[in-house]
Amino acid sequence: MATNVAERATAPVVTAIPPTAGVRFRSHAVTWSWRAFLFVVYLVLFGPLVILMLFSINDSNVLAFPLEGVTFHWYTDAFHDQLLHDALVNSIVVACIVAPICLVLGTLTAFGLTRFRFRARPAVAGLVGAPLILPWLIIGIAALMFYVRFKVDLSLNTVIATQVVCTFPLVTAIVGAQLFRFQRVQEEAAIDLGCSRMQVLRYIILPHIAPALAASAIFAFTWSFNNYEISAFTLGFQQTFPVWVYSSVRNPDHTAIVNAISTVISIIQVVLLTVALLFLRARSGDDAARGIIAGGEAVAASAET
Amino acid sequence: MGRWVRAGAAAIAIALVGVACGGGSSAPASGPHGSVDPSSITGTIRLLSYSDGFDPGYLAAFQQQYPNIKLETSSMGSNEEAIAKIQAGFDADVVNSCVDEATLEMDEKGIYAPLDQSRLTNWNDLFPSMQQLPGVQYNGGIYMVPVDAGTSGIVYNADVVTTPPTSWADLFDPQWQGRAGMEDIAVTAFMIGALTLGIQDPINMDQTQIDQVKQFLIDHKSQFRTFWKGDAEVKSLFKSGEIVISSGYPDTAKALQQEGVNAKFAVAKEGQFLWACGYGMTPNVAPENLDAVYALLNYYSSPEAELYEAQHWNYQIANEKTLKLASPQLIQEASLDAPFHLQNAIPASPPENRDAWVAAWTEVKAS
Repeated sequence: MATNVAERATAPVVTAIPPTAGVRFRSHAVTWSWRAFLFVVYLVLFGPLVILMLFSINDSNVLAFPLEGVTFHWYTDAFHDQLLHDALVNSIVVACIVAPICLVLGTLTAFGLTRFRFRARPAVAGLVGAPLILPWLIIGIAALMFYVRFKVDLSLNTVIATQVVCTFPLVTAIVGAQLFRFQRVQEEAAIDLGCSRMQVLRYIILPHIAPALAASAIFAFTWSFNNYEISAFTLGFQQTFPVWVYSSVRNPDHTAIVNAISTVISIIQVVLLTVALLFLRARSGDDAARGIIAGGEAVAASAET
Repeated sequence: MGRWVRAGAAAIAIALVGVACGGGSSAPASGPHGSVDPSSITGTIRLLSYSDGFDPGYLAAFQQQYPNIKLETSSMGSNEEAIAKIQAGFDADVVNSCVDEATLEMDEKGIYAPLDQSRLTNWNDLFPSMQQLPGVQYNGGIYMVPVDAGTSGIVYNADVVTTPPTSWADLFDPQWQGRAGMEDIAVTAFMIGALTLGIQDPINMDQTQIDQVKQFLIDHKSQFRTFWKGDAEVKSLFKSGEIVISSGYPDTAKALQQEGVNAKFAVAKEGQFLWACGYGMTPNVAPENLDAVYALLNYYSSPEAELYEAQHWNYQIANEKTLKLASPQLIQEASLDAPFHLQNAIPASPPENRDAWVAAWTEVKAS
């Protein structure tokens, strides 16, 4: 400590050199370029959503400016539309079942593929990943033919089964990426220090992959909720929300109702995500919250450093 | 909308009660003489249709009249999607189709089964022009009951296009370059191109003629602001001023007028395209559901149900008796008597070499 004080006392005084006009200009240019870039990104991301919200209160079913006036009757119509209600409930039920099943299946598969070495591992990995690259339309038609061949009645159950097949590989990919980065010496250290296998899972592994699990759950839920192609072909005489939307856009009045209900759903999704992020940040810190957004990358990166 | 739906449903209910009390014979029924007690008909109908086919207001009177028929519905995005779904094994009892899309194809592929004319209580009241549409009758049998229809022509903003268009060629007038529109349907686009080029029998074009039309459309692609899909889009394009002239439908012009756009509808001298949609029965109907299926087909083609369509969706009608229920104003606004004047109408039925049309249209759009 004394040495440090002495060093500081003898060190030459460094005075800040004021930046030249050229440096200042370049600095400003870089800052404003970044701001412009961010503005464009936000515009592309959220512009359509803002327009959708604007037209949801437009007193006309025509999507064109200028707005005709403010009305909330599209919201009233949406709340009184029984077909829409049924479709929304169906979508929520399906997503609430698909997401947890995919989380369990996908995580177990990720563990299997990252922790164990076996001869068929590349083949299994390819098989698991196949639904991620196959068009959902083809999967939907193939699933329909499969169900018909084996005389399985089409219903929400067939939608759930097919969506699980297509969605759990996504969880496997996200959780698997996180597990690949996991340093197993931490597990070994924990066991050396007397932890049981369950304690290792509870206190070492799960905290590490928690952001990836949260990200996977969100993605699995939204994939399921938004899925049209698979639902359209494997659904019986019921509707899910995307199927209702697609079959309704022929009718201009329905287009306006779609704007209203989509606005409500978007607001709910933003609120839920914000609450989830705040909750996670309160429980686990900023890194974990960032990890959800980045699919676990932030946490993985911070773990490596 | 909801208020209008309820009002329409109430009007239909009142009309049905009135007809029943007056001993009229036009109330939908399943038997050959309309004498069966509707509440005695039971069964489950699996309906695959465009969403308007099971609109709650549209079917309210049916469900009130036939309380013991259960209706299970599934929506389609297009006839092509429905065919793909059914061919993959999807099972339905009643399927909606349009003659300009796939009615004939459904006949040919066995998706539709022949109907028993003696059980179609409204068949003889349908306009003969509707009975003769492609695919409605096939191999001597009735396969589809036409329910609603319409014609397509030219919609224009009369504030900008001051000389009313008279020909499909007006869509290609250079003064509207970049401000014209056309519906994104291969058959519609190629029919317009063919008629503009003077091809007399556009439905039966050979490959050379298809190539000729394709080149014409490619050469004039800059004429079009966009190729629109659906009513909502074309209305937005007109209202925002992005287009001033387009292929379209009478109800498009009427809806735009209600939005304050001085839109007009014009019939092209080369011919107007006639579309018509209806319902047919699949071969998979269980015997215990057959009465219910005919009850639904008869309801769809009843004057009361068609009146609902005209009042709410501005559709033209297939059942001539609807004219007796409709007000003169509605007849005029929705052109309900149009089937009497369809001399220059071209049924927009898919051509035999439809695949070549679709491929050529894809090339036009990609050019």
